[in-house]
Amino acid sequence: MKLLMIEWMKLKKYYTFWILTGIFGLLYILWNYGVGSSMVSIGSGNLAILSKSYSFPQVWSNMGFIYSWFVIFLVVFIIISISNEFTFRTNRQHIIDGMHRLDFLHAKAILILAISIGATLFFYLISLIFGFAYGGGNMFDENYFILYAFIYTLNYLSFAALLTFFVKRSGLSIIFFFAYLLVETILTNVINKKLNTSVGNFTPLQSSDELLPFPLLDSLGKMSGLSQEALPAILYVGVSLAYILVYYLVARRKMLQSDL
Amino acid sequence: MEYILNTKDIRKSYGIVKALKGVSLQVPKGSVYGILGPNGSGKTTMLGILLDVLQADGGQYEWQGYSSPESARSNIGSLLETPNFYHYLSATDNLKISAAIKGRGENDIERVLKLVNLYNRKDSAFKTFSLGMKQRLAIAAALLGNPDVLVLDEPTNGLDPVGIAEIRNLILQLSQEGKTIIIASHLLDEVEKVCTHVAILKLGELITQGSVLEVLNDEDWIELGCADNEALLLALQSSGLCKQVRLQNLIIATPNKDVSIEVLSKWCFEHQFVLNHLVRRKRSLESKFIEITN
Repeated sequence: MKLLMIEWMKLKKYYTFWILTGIFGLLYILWNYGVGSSMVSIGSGNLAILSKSYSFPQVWSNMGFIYSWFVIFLVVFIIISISNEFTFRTNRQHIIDGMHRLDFLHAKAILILAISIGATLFFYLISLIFGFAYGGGNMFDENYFILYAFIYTLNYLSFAALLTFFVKRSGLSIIFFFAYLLVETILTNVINKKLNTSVGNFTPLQSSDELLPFPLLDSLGKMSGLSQEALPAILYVGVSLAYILVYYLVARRKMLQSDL
Repeated sequence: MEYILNTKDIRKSYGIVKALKGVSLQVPKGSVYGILGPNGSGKTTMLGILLDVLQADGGQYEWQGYSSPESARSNIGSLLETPNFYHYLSATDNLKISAAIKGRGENDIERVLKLVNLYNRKDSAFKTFSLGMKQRLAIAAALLGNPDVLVLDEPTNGLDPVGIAEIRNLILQLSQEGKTIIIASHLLDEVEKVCTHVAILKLGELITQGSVLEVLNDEDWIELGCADNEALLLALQSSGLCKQVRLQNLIIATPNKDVSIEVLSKWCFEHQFVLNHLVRRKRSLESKFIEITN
């Protein structure tokens, strides 16, 4: 709790924090409003790619997919906030002032956990509002997507944090993050196509992407029988959590052994 | 003697560069302990290891009287290398974070800001500060909570002459209050004015350590001048009073231990040398330092 308090002292007057979380929140709402009210559409005529299914339970998967894109703003924020510590050398100062090396890591872990919980609650709340405003149905159907959104956020933010622990500079970390996303997508596809399996889905970030898939493609694929039979989501939850644990252990080792 | 810090055989390499080759220091409680050395001698590396931001390759150290290294660090006021603060936060907000990490209340912030003359800029963002102001904020952070031990790495970096004098007085005052202060510096005259003990490092090796008096022991010399310096030189050389005598515009004499300046003066007068110049010179740390490290 003390660690979270210290993180909060750094953030509450940091404009970048408010701007990035503000963009995340506002754009997410606006985008869904645009799609839900048919003002925003991609495609032509009656063939709209963007799903307008805002009834329960489709609202979860539909808004979950959109949410998965907007999490990138939070990723950028995490990268900037951690690289700040290296740029300002405040990571050093924290240790000099008596913080245990692991507490520095744990403070970041707690911050990521707090942001993930906050973002997931936000996703839940907004989905509920849109579900009631544009759809209807039973709000408890398929609401395990809330857990998926949480795991997804935690995985993306933790991965970004680990990357920044090694790269240390914000610009480079952001570039590497996006470069990695591309590489991983290619890798996933190559593995899946070559081996004719779904094993490629178990790469670090793809394992969470599978939790919040593109609803339209997902259902098209299943209907046409083109894609592999989908693996149970719980498997992806497990793999994602395992990756998060690995990130932590790697960061821990780095934190305990390196010169600051 | 009671020691606040003991280090034993601390070693550290950066690749092929051996930054510390087994350094053992003993810092007495209540001393102002100067760690001296030219650039690259390993001063900051040593302090970095003692403050756990660098990992030693070998050796041990112990801060006496603390339950854990973390407890030691949070009770020691430290300034290492550069002032490290959040650029976008004000002086006060930055110190609030330092206080929170050290586990201290925020009620000491006003006092330390006044002590370093930053109180009127307490609400300005760190990024608007000049180099000297940043340094003073770092000193303020080190003074938070009135710690009994201070570790200051080049504390007068970036300060103007007035600022340097202020910090010197502050160190002397803190020393009088019984605090132990460890200072790393390459500014010898600064160190000489405040230190009670010194350690001299060169290329990662400890050349010497001890009280300033011990390190500079027997190093006084006397300058003499008279109408005929060359005759005086010859006379002194055969007098048996001095260990060493040479002529360098004036006569520079290092007298034997039991020979006081009065004895020397009297001897000259009795031997028909009427002195027009007689000064005792204390060997400066600088000349000692240059001699030791070369």
